[in-house]
Amino acid sequence: MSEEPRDPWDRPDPEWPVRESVVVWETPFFEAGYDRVERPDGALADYYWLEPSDAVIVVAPTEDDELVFVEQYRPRFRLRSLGLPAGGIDDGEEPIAAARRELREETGYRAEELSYVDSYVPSGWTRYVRHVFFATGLVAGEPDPDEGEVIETLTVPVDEAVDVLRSREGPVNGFALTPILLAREDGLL
Amino acid sequence: MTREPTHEWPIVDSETEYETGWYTGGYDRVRQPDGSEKAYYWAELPDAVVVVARSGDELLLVDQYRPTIREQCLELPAGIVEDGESYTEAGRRELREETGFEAAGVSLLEEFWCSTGVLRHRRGIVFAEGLEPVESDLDDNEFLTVTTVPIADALDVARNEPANDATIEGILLARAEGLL
Repeated sequence: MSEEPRDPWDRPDPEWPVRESVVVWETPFFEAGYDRVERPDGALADYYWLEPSDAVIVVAPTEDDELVFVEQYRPRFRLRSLGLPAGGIDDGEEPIAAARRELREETGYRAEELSYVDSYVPSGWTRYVRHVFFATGLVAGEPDPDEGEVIETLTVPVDEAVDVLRSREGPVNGFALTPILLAREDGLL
Repeated sequence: MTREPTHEWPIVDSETEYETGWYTGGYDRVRQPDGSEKAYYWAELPDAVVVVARSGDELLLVDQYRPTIREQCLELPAGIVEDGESYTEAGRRELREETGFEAAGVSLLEEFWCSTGVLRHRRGIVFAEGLEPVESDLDDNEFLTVTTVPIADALDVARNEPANDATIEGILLARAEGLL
């Protein structure tokens, strides 16, 4: 384990002093609670947080210039959603290893090479980081989904990927759009 | 393109476990296609709007401390959509309140699910142009300063640590549409 806190919210000396940090809600997937923070004007205020494990997202084009998408039912929204292979990082796992594993488990594709694209937090109040990876040298294989997970893999020509994602009825899966646009911006797609 | 689930995924139970002034948390116990049951946890909060506001060759950003992640963040102006507001109305209001600029035109670029893994929370990204300074009316819980960056540098600034999805996504989307 490194000495430096991996995430900024683990740092011991935040700029606005944290007078109290309370875990209120524990689930098998994340913890949630609040920090009582002293603002610059001296007032105390509660800032809520929610902390799941960090996540990886994989932008994976095939040799035929098709982008690998996954489609699954999202009970949280009660609808099907189209997205990229992605998932949570296990305890002690390196992000790149998680990217390789999630791609294989969800889609069956093995990647010869993975490169790091970028990392960011989804919002200013959720404590987790999304790491984006770019996978090349894909070799098809058998998926190995988690128990109960029902995931369909499909591929879409790279040039049409953004349009396909955005043309779905209802809100777009933001988890998937940013990584694709980033990969395009970096000249990877 | 409507996609029907191939299985009904019936909800066996739905519970609220944590209510805050910011979000409501709970879970749905769902019967999966293989017959097993699983709890899908969610944190539900109102929609948010993120504003890509262009003034000439500059992009408007707000600089604020985010106590939850303990970082000073340069971000696109953003806020919660209030009851009855559209994304464009909320974007216009947030822009005025947070930055003191009134926009001549505000248009919706895209609507997203912010996080398919945890949140029930939508985010709308709007583009604002024709900015005129008016009086700033900052919410009292926001200690923020308004700044601008050249549009040519905006994506690099957004990708610098600490980077956040909303700001990167807003800039990339506006670029993809030829607006930046």
